[in-house]
Amino acid sequence: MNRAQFLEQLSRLLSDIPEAERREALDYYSSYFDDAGPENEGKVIQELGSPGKVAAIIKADLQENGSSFGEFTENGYKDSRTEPDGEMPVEYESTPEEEKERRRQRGERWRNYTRGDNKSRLILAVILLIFLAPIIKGVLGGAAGVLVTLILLSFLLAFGAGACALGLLIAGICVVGAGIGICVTNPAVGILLIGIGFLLLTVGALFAIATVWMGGKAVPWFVRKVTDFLDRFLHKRKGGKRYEEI
Amino acid sequence: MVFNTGAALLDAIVLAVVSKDKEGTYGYKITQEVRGVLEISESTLYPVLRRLQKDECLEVYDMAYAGRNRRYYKLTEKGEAQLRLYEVEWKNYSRKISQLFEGGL
Repeated sequence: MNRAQFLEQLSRLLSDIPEAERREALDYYSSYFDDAGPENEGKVIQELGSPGKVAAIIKADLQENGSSFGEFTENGYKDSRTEPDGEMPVEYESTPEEEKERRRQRGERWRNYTRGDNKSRLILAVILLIFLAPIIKGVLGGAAGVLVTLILLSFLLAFGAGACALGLLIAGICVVGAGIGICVTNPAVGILLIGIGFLLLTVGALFAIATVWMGGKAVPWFVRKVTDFLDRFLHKRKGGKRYEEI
Repeated sequence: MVFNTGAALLDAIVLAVVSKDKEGTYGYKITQEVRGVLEISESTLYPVLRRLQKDECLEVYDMAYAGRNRRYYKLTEKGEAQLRLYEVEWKNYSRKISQLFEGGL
C-alpha cells in the first residue's frame, strides 16, 4: 500500500462522518505524509496501521464528543466506560510479539490435535459428512450412482458367468448321458451326442474358470480400486494434505 | 510501556509539546515529540489534536511551507490555563505515588 492508496481508503472509510470532519482528517494525514517525507512513507503507513484502524479511532472520538472516557494505549484506543475501573489496566496487555507467539502456539496445538487423536478425527469426519450430506448427495449423486452401477455390474457378470457354467455343465452331463443311452440303439447318433455333450462340458468348464477368476480376483480388485478412490477423494476433502503445510 | 495513558494525561502531554513552540507547531512534529516520551501509535494523535481544537485549547492556522499549506497548532489562552492545571495536578499525583514507592509518606 502506498500513500495514495492509504488516503483513498481512508477517505472511503470516513464517508459516513460529517464532510468537514472528513476533509479535516484527510488534510491532516496528507500533510503528515508530506512532513514525514517520501523516504518515510512506508514507515508512516506501517506506524499508522491500517486505514480501517485510523478511521475507527477518528470515529470513536467523534462519538465521544470530546468527553474524556477514552484511553489511548500503545495498543490503540480503549474506552474506560466498558471496563470496571478506568484508571487500572484490568488485564495484562500483550505486545504484538507476544500475541504472535501465542498464536503460533495455538496453531501448534491445533496441529497436534488434528494429527494425534484419531477418535476425534473420526468424529469430526462424521460430523463433516452429516453437514455435507446434502451437498454430497447433490454433487456426488451422479458419480456415486455410476460407481454403484459398475460394482453391481461386475457382480452380475460374475453371477451370469457362474449360471452359464452351471447350466452348461448340467446340459453337458445330460447330453453325454443321453448319448451313452442312444449308443445302444444307434451308435452314430449316440457318439455324436456324447461329443456334443463333452463340447458343452468344456465350454461350461471355461465359464466355471471365468467365474472363479471373476469372483475371486476381478471383482475384489475392482471394489478395492473404487474404495481406494473414494478414500483418497474424501481425504482430500478433509484437507489431509493441508495439515502438512501449517 | 507498563502504564496506560489516560485521555487527560495525553491531552496534557500534547499541550505541553505544543506550548514549547511559541509560533506553533505541526502534526508530524507533535507526533514525533510525543512519541519521544510515550509509546503511542501515531494514529491516536490526530483525534486528540482535533478534540483539543474543538475544546478551544488549541487554535490552528495555515502557513505556506515548501509550496503547500501546513497546518500549525498553537495554544490558546484557555489551552495555557488548562496546561497549568494539568501540571499542578500531575505534580501532586506523581509526588504522592513516588512517595509511596519510596516508602516515605
